[in-house]
Amino acid sequence: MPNPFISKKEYSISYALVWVLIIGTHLAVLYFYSQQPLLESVIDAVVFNILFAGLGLSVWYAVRYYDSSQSAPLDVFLYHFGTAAIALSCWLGIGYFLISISMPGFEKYKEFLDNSMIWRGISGLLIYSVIVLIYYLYIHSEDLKLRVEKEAKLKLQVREGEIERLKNQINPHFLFNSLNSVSSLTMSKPDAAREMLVKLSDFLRYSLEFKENELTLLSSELDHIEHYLGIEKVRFGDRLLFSIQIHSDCKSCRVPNMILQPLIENAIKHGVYESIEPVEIRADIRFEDESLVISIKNTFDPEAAPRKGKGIGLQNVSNRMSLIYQADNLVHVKKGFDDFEVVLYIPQTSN
Amino acid sequence: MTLKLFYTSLKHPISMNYSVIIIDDEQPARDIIRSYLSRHVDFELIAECSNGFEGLKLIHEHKPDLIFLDIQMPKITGFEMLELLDHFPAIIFSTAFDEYAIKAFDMSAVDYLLKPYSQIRFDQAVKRALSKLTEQSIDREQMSKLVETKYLDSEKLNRIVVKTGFKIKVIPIDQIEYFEADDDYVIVYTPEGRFLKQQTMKYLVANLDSKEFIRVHRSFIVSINQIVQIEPYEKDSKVLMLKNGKKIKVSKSGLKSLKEALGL
Repeated sequence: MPNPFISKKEYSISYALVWVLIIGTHLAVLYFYSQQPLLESVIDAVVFNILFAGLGLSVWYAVRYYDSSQSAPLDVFLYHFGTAAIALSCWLGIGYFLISISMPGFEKYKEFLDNSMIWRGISGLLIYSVIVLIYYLYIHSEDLKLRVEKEAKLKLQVREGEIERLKNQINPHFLFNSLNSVSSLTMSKPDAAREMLVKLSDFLRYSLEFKENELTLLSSELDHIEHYLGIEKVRFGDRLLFSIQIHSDCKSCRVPNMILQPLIENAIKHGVYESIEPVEIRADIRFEDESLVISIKNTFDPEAAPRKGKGIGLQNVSNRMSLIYQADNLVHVKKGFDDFEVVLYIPQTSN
Repeated sequence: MTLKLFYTSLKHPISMNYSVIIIDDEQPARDIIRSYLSRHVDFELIAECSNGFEGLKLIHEHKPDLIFLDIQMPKITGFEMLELLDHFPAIIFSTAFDEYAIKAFDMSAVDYLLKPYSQIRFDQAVKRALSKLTEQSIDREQMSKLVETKYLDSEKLNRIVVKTGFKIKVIPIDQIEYFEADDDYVIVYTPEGRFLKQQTMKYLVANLDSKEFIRVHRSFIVSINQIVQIEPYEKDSKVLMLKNGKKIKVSKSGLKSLKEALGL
């Protein structure tokens, strides 16, 4: 982030105007109140204040490149106080020197100047503090703006993903192939056909009830993907192997609605659809550091040419996670030679 | 069923049995075709399999009259399998994908069954196959030419399937350096060697991603990533230098589309 007083036109103009005003006030005080001659007053006001205006610009770097969020308030105060002390000493020293060489009849003015140094120091410290505060305000408002923008963008992405997901959740390919399997089973195994229709109905009902920001019990999510896998198992038979490992205390954890189905879908799409050999999908669910850790791992045929459209479902899961938990880095992806793993870290607060 | 067939053949001594192969990766889907087909005495199921590789082998071995073909299958799709056939049976597609319909008909498939379908709908398809097969007018030569059709706009080729001897090789599109025309064939050049495929340049131009592949000459389509530099060659003409050291002639119109693609 560049210094707004340099990079932004309206900020630079205001900054210059304020300094013109300060120079005017300074001049008025010297001339009318302290009864100094006009020329001396002008030189004094211009030299000291223009120097300070320059100093004020460089204070930006002291604020911007010191990470105050990582330090204790006292440290922040001491840091700025120290910086101010050094900056103000330099300012007074250089100002004094410049006046001494530029002012005709400096000898007469010297006494007044010497006596006023303490007041210059105090007013300088005040102005310095105001500048630091303005910089902090600016940085915070910019950060806030950025965060709001980022959130809006994420929301938009999630909405777009939502449309995609709606299309996928009643994924016509899945649905019609499943119905075809049911149709086939009605001839050979009517009981299995009925069972599959029940699973398909449960699956669709859960999908249709889905609400964007709701959390649900892990156990309902697991039931849902078991229905889903049960249906796919009828289609693919031995080509699909599924196993799940879960610690019993995890089942009452809360997770975002419909967060697992896209991952299982991916595993089936890139694993089972593309392989002649059996593909193994493993879910591993455990509790770790206040987080529910869900790993979904599938094997795939390394020789299969990659399918297009890879990553949209995953991107959407990741977007939803960062929107719901206001944190990045909750979704990890590991791709091995012949396996693929997605790990979700779902924060569990005590309530 | 054998008894029934026997009985039927007694009843219709001159009726001919057409051989059928089912290619579908899902067992229940094959079951239903088999079951529907059992009512048709003119057809005899001789084999079934669950992917395009096996399908190719079976078709080569048995030269069936009719195949039922799914499209989305592991390894190679139903369409890719058709591209590699030497023998062309009558084809009935059986798939859940509606989006392939246009393409299937362009390929002069006999019919196109959308899963799930009824016995009545199935019977219609088989009836159409029967009339096509009995017409004797089934021109296999012509069929092989019809295999080339335009993919849907949203779907660019992301791999090329070739046959080397009896083996099938799936080449991801990003491994291809360039294509060279050779009569009715194209030669596909990859770091692993060159492969022959029965396909036209026109088809490739229509279906390759035009941001990745440029037709620089009547006989050449080059992957943009492979180009190292464009050099002058004789007067008024240029050659391309590729990463593998090969040089490729560029025609005038080729140079124009190349410049457009590179934003020059």
